[in-house]
Amino acid sequence: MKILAWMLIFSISFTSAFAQTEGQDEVTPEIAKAAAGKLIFKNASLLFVQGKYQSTIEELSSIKVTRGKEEKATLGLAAYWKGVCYNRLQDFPKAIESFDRALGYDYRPADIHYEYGQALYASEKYQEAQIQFSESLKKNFKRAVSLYYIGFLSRELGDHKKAVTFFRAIEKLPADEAKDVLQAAEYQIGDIYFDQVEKSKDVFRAVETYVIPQYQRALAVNEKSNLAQPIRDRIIDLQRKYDLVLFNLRNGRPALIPPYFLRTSVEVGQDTNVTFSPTETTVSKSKQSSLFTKADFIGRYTFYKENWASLSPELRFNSTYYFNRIPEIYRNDNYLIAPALRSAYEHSLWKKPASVLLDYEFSQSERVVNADREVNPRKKFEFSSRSHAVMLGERFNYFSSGESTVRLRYRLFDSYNDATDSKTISLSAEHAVSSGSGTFLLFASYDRTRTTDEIFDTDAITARGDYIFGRSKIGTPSIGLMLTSTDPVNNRSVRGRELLLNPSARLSRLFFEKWRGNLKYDYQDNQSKDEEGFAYKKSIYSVEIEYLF
Amino acid sequence: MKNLTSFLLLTLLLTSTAWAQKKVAIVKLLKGDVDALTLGKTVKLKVEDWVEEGSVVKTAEKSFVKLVFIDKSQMNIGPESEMKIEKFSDKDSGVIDLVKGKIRSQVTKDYLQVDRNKSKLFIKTANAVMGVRGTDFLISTNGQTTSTVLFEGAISFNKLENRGEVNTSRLEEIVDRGVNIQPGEFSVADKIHPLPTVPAVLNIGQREALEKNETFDADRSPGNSGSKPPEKSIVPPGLSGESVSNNTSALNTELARSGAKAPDPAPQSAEGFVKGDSIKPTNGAFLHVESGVIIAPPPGSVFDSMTNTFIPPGSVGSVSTTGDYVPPKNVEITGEGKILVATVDNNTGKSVVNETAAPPVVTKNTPVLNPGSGSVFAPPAPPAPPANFQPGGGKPGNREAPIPTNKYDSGNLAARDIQTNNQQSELKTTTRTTIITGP
Repeated sequence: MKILAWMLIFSISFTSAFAQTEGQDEVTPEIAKAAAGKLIFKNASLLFVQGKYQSTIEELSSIKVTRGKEEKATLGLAAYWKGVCYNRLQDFPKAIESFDRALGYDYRPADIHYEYGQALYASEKYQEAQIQFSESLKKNFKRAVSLYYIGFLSRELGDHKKAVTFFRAIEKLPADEAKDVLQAAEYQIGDIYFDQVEKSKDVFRAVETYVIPQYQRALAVNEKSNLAQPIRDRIIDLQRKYDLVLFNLRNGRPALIPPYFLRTSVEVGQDTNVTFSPTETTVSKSKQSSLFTKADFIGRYTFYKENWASLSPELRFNSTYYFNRIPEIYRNDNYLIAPALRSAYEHSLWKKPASVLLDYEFSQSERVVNADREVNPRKKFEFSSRSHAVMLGERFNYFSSGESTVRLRYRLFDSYNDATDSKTISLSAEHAVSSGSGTFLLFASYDRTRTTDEIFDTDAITARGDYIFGRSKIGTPSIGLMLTSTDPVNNRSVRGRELLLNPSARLSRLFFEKWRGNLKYDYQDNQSKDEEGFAYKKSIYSVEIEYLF
Repeated sequence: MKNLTSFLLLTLLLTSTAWAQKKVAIVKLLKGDVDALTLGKTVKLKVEDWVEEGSVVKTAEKSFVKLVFIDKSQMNIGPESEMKIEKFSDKDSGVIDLVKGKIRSQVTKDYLQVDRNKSKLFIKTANAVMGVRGTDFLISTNGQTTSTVLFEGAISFNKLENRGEVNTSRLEEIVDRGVNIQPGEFSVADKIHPLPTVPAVLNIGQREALEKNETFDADRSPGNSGSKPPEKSIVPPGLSGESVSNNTSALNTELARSGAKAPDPAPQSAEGFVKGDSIKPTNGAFLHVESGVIIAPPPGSVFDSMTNTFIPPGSVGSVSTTGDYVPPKNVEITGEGKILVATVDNNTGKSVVNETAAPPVVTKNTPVLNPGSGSVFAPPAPPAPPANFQPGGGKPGNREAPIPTNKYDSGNLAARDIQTNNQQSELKTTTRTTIITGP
């Protein structure tokens, strides 16, 4: 009895449900199937949005096959939808089967040809894929990518002319539509050009005239994209392969790429005891601290004479400004201009790269030289000093640890104070030691300076060591220590043998590829018998921002 | 009086027995050999047997057991697994220690609704602890690495220093400091890194197959219809996965009609990242569940906007119908996480096997110009002595190769930052001796 009652309730509710849903008195098999179909699509939708593509396929597969126009659309949608799911599951044979079936039902949503084309492409059915992408193009669906697929498939099928035509067609699309594809299309054209000229007799000229400009055109589309670097690498590879650019000198030393070096920097810091040293052999201390700022620019371009010599004109400019405006300090405000011409002759020594170096250096600086002479100083920059230097050196690889350089330098120094005009002969040696975690830089020099007024003559020995640590999370730290022992040859009784202790530390970090920030600390302790005139101690803290072009 | 005394004695005896050996779970399904070790006594389990608090349950190869706990939570223990029920009651949080193997658990929703912000069950391994606030998840450990995948609900996951910890308040504190995993995401904790990986969305095919495989069916064959998984990416060389991705406009119309709302754009990028100690694998990565090895989608993978994941091409592997990651034919990943790559020696023509480092888990989905030029399973450069290699379980040779230690090697990310040191430095004398760095 209980069972009978339940059966009755069930049949009433079942019948009324259909009556309410469809608004008809009689439930036909077609209506029941349509309702079931709707429910399946609803379930499939819920699974699809969760990314449960296999379950979506299983749900869609439960649709019963019937006849009729509406049913054709239903089955077409189900087949298309399954194709999309199979594509996401990388099951391309089944995706192809499903898209085929959907098209058989004449179900043609805007993206079906595109999805179908992708499945055919992944299955390496290139000709069929081309047809589908052409259909996709006709429907204006993802035009840029469809054109790219067609171009790429044409290239794979050996039809280079057609490939270039389709890649070029992307250039004509609105910028917004082409933006993700244009650079790759230009690159593909470059590849096709190269394929065509690679075996020709005139390959060197053709690569230079057609192929590299095409890659450069691709690069110009977006020089900061993810593709930009591979394109640059490709250009360099070709230049190297066809000797279009000098990469190595005759002794195997790499040529500079790029051949220029440009750097500009601004430094702000605090000097705890500003010293005045206009002649380089005298010094006077202010016993006052001051904030300062320095701006520096250096530019150099290296020209190569074939693969055996180079010539590098260089220009350096810097200026310094002190914020403490007392004469003892602001007399240090200065600017310096220093052009140089450096040359190198490349050869081999001990079967390793070596270079003979010959440099000419000029510098001229201007300061507020009258600050300490006048009651009301004019704070005007005037000539302070000028120097000419010639340097002859040899850079060689004798030690396995790294490169070494020895230099002999002769310098004429012309000061605003004639008494301190001088001539200096220097002999110096440098050596770099690379270890796994960092680099040691060692430097030693002997400087013999003879001035017009012999009281200022000096003989100095300098030793300096720097260690640049490996990169860490915070940047690249380095520490250094310089010791300079100065013998005031004709003034020993007053000054004694002086010793300058100069430890320093620096932390460098690159930002945004070309910006570098430096935190610097420098301590100087100059020990002299003449404590009032020459002995001093100071610390310099500064922050520097560099831009490397 | 005699009856009353007997009754009291019996009651006391039963109560004390129940206190000492509290029955907490019943065996509902069993395959193969499954033992329970309780108070030093080992018994072979069978369906409808009870398992007591403090028991260690061990499953043999190709064996599996489904336990239903007193709070109606289900726990499926996979083959070659060992777990201890340290603490369990229907009122307080339980503590399970997974020594090795896999557990698939479905914790009851009613049970969870007691307090949504507290863990209702803690599962510990040698190096990690999970606070279960969700309903359906998988956890696996090989004793060194623990990986977990969440299918439904929410779980918190963190490294665990002291495995002996059973205080649930302290365990709660530990998991609170860990990562929160959302459905479809996975996380891996190993012995090297201080934190578990930031949860990332698992490969869509693997997630679905794992979710369906509640009984740990083993199948290593690829899940798709071809005899060989397709190796070619749907993304042509030069384009990115995003640019070729189709947002299925026609289906969106259908979704709208059926009332199913397409998910909102994901707040988090699908790309992986390394930020200090936090490492997030790229969304769509495969997970070798047994070892915790992560195979991230390589550059050139297509992007699926529906799931916010990249779909790796077949060249890096595929997924079996049971959700197991299937590496390419020349690659084998052991349970300990060693990756063995077979190559043919050009000189001898013989197959050689080398152990290689795990591929980076953080990949940038940048366009690839030469898809064939690199492999995520690149073997080490020098050729190794010949050895017999049988993909999928043979005895590989050349095992003396160093074991990869850094599974989360972020590959090119590190190299990108190294610039300063590589720049040539030169010493120059100016008016005073200073160091100028230049080209």
